[in-house]
Amino acid sequence: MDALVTPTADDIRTSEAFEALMWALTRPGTREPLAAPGMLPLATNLVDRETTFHATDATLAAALAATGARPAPIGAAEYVFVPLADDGDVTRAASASVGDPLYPDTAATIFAPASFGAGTALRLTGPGIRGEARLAVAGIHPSFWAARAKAARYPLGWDLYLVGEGEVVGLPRSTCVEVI
Amino acid sequence: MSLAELTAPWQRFNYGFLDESAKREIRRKTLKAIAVPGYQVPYASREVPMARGWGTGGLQVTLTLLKPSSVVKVIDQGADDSVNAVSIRKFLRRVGGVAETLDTTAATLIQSRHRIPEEKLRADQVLVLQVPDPEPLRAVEPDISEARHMHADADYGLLWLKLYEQIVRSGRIMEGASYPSLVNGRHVISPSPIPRWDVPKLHQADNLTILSAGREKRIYAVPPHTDVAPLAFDDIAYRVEDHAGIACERSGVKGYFLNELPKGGGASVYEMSDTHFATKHIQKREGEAVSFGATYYRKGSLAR
Repeated sequence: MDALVTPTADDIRTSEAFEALMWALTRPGTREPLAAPGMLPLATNLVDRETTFHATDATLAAALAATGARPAPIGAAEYVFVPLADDGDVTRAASASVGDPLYPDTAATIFAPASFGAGTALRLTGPGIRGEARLAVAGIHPSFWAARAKAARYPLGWDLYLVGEGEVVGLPRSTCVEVI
Repeated sequence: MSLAELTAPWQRFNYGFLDESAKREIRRKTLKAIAVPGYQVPYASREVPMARGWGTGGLQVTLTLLKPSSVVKVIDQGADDSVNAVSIRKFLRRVGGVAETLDTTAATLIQSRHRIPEEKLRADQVLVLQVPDPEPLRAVEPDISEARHMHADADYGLLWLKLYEQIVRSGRIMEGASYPSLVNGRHVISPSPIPRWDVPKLHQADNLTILSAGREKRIYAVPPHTDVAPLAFDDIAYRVEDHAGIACERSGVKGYFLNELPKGGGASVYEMSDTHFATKHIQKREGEAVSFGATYYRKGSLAR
């Protein structure tokens, strides 16, 4: 081999975390395994001095601020790390940015803890899904799905990652979510 | 906070050539592109050791996706053996320590200039298309700020008018490559200058396709199982190139997209554009053990 450089442990970690996010968003509703558990390895892939974030967890907020990213109120942050477990959480999250018609990419990306296999049953359709996909989610208040539908007028809307124990599910704004 | 705290120990250069800040930018914008299929996401395009216009957009995405287990194939107008394709492949090998292949079915990551392989891409493969001009509205609206408003309003009337005028003047739609196509029923894209033959391969594909324009600083994507409809009128169907009945000069195989090679006296011969696919047919004829993937086209027409 004439390779000039070998990947460091950091390179491998970020590339694995990014691939999990990419495949999660490419195949909405699929549970993508994470090599390293938790929000931080996912976040450090995306968040840096160029970005703003909002995190309710103080430890995570401190770690994100250490990357040089700027904390912002939830309505202005590009990357939002919040629980969506109760009604109050959902009301707060509903003020996250859905983007601008000229620049839909300015919408917030929301990371929320969840678990899968039990809880609210969802039917998913849209790009990345052949026919339809089913997903059972716990840890997300059922009212969130109505709030998501109300806020999103495609191509505006939130890109959502549900982060479980060692797995992540992506729900891009292009996915139609029905509670069944 | 000091700069030293934000940087890693010294290396000759970063894995995958791009620094981490460049990769994070591409990663952020690639995810946005996947979330809004067909929307052109602006991104901070970095310098790579190649001139703008030679595939720097595609290269930046490929470099970001590189990992040591990647198997890369690089296509230049269907060919694996052009200077551009060979150089990009060698560069990826040296900065990423990745394996190279010419075989579509063996690749995990395919960077392509203006062709989609004839063999069907799978769900675990990523196709990266190099894009010279990402803006389908450029011919009808040169002001990119105005074009952005038109995309926001899904106002594609002028594009339809352009196609209509071509039919009135010439009797058929004159778009050869970069055929404007509606993605997910919302955004019209230029699918990079792939021939009309290749556009239906994007529709409800199994693989993820990422399109990146380095000079124009735009990334967009077609996720798997997404509708991609070339703009066509109800009474005038979309037509692919009329190559179904012509045999390839090298391999003798019919039914795939061809390059026309002009000969003296106005004659021409045809060779299959996907060169390694033709090579595999030749190897098979000579008795070697080769495996073929499923193809998008069978007997010259689209297999669905």
